[in-house]
Amino acid sequence: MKLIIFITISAIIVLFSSIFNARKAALPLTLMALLIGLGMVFQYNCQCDGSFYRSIVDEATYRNMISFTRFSALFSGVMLVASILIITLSANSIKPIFDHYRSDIYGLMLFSLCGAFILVSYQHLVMLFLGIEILSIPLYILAGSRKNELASNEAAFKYFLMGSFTTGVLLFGIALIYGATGSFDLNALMTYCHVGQISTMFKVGMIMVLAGMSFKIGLVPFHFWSPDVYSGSPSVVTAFMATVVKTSVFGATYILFSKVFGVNSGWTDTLAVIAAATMFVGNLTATQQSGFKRMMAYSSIAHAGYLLIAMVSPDLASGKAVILYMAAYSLATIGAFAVMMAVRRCTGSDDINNFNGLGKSNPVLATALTIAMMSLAGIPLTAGFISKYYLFTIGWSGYSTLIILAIINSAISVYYYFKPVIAMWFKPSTSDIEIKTDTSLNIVLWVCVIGIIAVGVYPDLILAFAD
Amino acid sequence: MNTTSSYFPIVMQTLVAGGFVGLVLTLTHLLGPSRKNKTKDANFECGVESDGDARVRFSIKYFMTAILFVLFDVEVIFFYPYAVNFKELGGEGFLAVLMFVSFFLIGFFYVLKKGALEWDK
Repeated sequence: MKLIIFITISAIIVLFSSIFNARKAALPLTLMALLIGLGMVFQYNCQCDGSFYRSIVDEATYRNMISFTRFSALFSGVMLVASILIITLSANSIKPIFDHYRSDIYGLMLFSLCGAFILVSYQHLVMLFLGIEILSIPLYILAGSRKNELASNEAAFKYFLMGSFTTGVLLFGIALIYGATGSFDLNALMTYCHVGQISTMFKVGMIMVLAGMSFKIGLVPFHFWSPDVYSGSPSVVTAFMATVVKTSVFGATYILFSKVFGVNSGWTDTLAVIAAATMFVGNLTATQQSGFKRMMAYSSIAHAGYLLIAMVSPDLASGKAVILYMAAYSLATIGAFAVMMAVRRCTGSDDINNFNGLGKSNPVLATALTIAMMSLAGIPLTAGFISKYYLFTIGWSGYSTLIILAIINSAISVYYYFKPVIAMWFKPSTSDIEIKTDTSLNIVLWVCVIGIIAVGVYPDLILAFAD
Repeated sequence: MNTTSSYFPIVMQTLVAGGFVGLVLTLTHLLGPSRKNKTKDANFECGVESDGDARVRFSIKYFMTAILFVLFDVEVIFFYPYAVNFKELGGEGFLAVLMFVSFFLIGFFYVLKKGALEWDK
């Protein structure tokens, strides 16, 4: 809770830095706020005892609206690290003409992050709705933050229209759940789901809530917005959407479905079907893409499908697996986006052909992208492999067919993840534009690469926090 | 009580309401006189001759002022319930409202400094 207040206040301060002609201070202020936030999360995590879902502060302090648990602390930690990397990445990547809005962009990102924190620590369905709104509304603006570019405007408009519509569906679902149980409180809902008959109204509400959440995560059949929005938005915002937003809404869905609704309310089969469909649609469509950002958009859809495996087997270990997976996925995605941004800045587009010959002209960038792609594909000795391994072993006992489908999908994904890798190392360069990098981009790349390998070799680096 | 048949009156009412509207519209269409000419078919605009298109571009400043007005107007709406319960809410309520107002003031300050209300700039 203190974390949410702190980040809100720092967001306001960052927003105001442009008024007082201190626009240059926006970046260091944002980074400082995020680092202090990370420190607070560490402190929360130390205060926790064994239980994953026990609130750190007495729940009555915040009138049963929010319960900041170890689960929320870990999710917030992953999101904070991802935000720190993304904001460092943005230091030199915001075009000079948009530099005027720099403080606004950071302020909106911080506001969005507040919504993300609420989403992983809500205790009341109204807070879930508020969290989704606080997360989304800044994102609609961020998606269109390149005011003069048509693609960016289109992305913002599509995201806003569809997003507000699905938020309406989500709210309707919450209303139906309230109608069936008479309570918004998660504990009351948990009792309702575990004792006695579940009414049809509740089930309809559950499906509508699932639809609303699926839109935000990008699950099939609610994924159609994500390629357009991801490719139209500025790269920094896309990286933010693919990592922080996905992590937080997935955390919210995990809390609601695994912890509250529980297995016996009969939604696991639905989710297993959605998981399989999401993996196949994401991976098969990704193979057809020629633009790097669109490919990453479909890749993120596919990864949401893998993550659903953790939801159909809700035990304590699956929560840990989700956090490990999210950390691995975020590191690899941010690393890949960093390389893409360097290439795009120098060549003007994110087409995979533009990666041709990068292995010769800039081997550091090429190696970093190769490691990130290997992690996303799940090749051993990377974080992506170990997190997939954890996820699949957890799902194996209940849904072995789903795991087999997931493994087939991992094999498919190797095809498109290795497209840029092959382009970089084995294809001759088509142009003589030199791909330059800068310090902040290099720092992010090194952190991502070292993180991917370190977690891949020694996953306890992250799992230790969860024990 | 809570069976399908208890909703029967609602179904009847819907049918009657819809049927009445449909019937009247059809009847006026069939029975009423219909004279069509250019003047008759023109859009009615308070008796004044219509001019140009409805989709004209107008300055964003109108929109900015209007949307900011709505924002601060809604703020005032929250004051009414507070004013009614002023005594019961006491010091804690006052602090809560003060916080609410200060958030709005921060926003107002931001808007002013960003120059959103400067008309001729």
